[in-house]
Amino acid sequence: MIEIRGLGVDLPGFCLRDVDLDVAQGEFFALLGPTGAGKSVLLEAVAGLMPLDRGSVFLNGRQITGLPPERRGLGIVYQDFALFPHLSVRDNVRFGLRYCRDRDRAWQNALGLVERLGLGPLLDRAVAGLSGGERQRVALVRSLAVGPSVLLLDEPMSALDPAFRQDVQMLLKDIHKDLGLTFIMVSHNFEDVLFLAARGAVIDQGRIVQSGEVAEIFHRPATPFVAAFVGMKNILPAVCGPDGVRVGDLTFRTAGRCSGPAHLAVRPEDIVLGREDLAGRYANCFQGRVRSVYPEGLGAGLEVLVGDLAFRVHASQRRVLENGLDRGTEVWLAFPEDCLHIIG
Amino acid sequence: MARKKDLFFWLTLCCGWVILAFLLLPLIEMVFAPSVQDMRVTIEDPAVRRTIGLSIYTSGLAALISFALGTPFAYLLARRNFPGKRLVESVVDLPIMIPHPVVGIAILSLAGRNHWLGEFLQSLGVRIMGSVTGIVTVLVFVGLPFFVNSAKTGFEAVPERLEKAARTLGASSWGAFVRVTFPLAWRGMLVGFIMCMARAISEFGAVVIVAYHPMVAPVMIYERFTAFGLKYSQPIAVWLILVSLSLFLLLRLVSRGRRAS
Repeated sequence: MIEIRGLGVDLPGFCLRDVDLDVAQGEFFALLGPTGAGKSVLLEAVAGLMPLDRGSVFLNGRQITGLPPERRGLGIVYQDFALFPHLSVRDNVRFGLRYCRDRDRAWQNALGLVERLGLGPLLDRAVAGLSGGERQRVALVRSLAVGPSVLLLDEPMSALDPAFRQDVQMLLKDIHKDLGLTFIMVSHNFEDVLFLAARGAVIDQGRIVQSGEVAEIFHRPATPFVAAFVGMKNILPAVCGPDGVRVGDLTFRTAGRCSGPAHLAVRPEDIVLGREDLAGRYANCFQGRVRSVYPEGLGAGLEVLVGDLAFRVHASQRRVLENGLDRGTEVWLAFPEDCLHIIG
Repeated sequence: MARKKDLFFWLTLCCGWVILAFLLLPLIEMVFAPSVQDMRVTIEDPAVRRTIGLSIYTSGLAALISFALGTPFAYLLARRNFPGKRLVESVVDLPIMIPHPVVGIAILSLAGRNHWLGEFLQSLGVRIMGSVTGIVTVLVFVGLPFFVNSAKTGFEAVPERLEKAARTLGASSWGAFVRVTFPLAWRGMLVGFIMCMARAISEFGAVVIVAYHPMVAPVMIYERFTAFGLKYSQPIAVWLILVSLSLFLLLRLVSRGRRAS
């Protein structure tokens, strides 16, 4: 188990402040945040590769703050994999074995992983000739070969062809399950985290803004920043009152209760879009006009103006074509009560 | 149809030719001036052989000392940022800018009887004035910047992440340096070694002040030139060029061989 208490790192132009985190033994934990939020700095600080200015790190109850990285028993797989270019795949994998107590056993374990990850035929190849996916697998085996108790993964998907994303997700999930190690993954992509991690923390500008179950972060973001990060593209300042939540001239009926100023957040894919009045079927139904239509993934995104409020709505291409949705089209938007999130 | 080259292209080309001619003509003229007979007679002179040998020995030793002292320092400069780093780097470059006789005078003033350091060195039996020790000291002074700068560039080209990865695999900072950084940066260090030695072997101004005797090749070339004229100094100069060129070629070949393996 890893406990991080009051951790702080001061760098020129950036600092990591008051980080408190608990990661349980065998957990797949995600550190989330936009680029430059301080996720990788935190990862390196935990690994001992970045000196701490404040705070402490405990591994299984033992204080490791002052220990050099080689004595912490934490492995790291970097975004660019950091393979040693002057060594073959075999020598990369064997690099750390000379520091292991039982080298033969460690090498046998490493060979098992090599076979499992399909790296057997590549063992005598130079690192320079490997593809991105192969490099990543070599980096994984190299780190796991020395038997770390925690594996730190720095943006494992970002340097790979998107086509391999699922494969890598599956691979990481399987390895995590089989080896029972603690994984801490840094990512700026919430989709990866939703699939892989059980718990996580969101970092913004060097501070943890929310931590807990990933599903909880996804469904109940604590701040407008987290809401935007988990894909709630409509975040509007609101005032809670006895008759509902007021946003501009509109009043929304919501499932939860609240009072005073807040933010109302809703995902584009949760808004129901129709050409006729949907008031018979939904509580919160408003008429608006399409301001723009833009491509969004395999579907389409629409910006719809209701009064002077702009909402982002997601629709399938088929829906857009069949309903003749275009700039200036009159539409009805419905906001199901359970899809409206109040952020206090 | 090939595009017509413009005036600017011809200007760059002309400047290139002028520079090459300027650099090569005097050297070619000098190399081919002495007859084979002159060259043979010169190298049969034991004093000439001793002098060229001393030049190679002292400059090689200076490069080795620069390597031993300069490698950790170059690594520090490549990896760490600290207040005053720019100033330290300027100090390292200082010997390139100072007139060479001034270097000799500066070292002598420190090593003389009037200075506590000079007195201390003499009490240890170390003599700088007119000794091989003095020559090597001067050559390290003038050659060190070339080694440090080149090695630093070599270290900077090795991503720090590789060392970090090595550390998490169990290597100490020394282990990461020896097993990762050094094997990836040795080319920069070799280039620095060659540059440092080349600079040292060609030094005259500083050496002549600190140690006229024992005579290194540039001092002997100067002595023969002033005492006997151009004709007598040329063959030694050509021998010095030939010996140093073959040495540096050999070093380059060794480095290429290591790379291929």
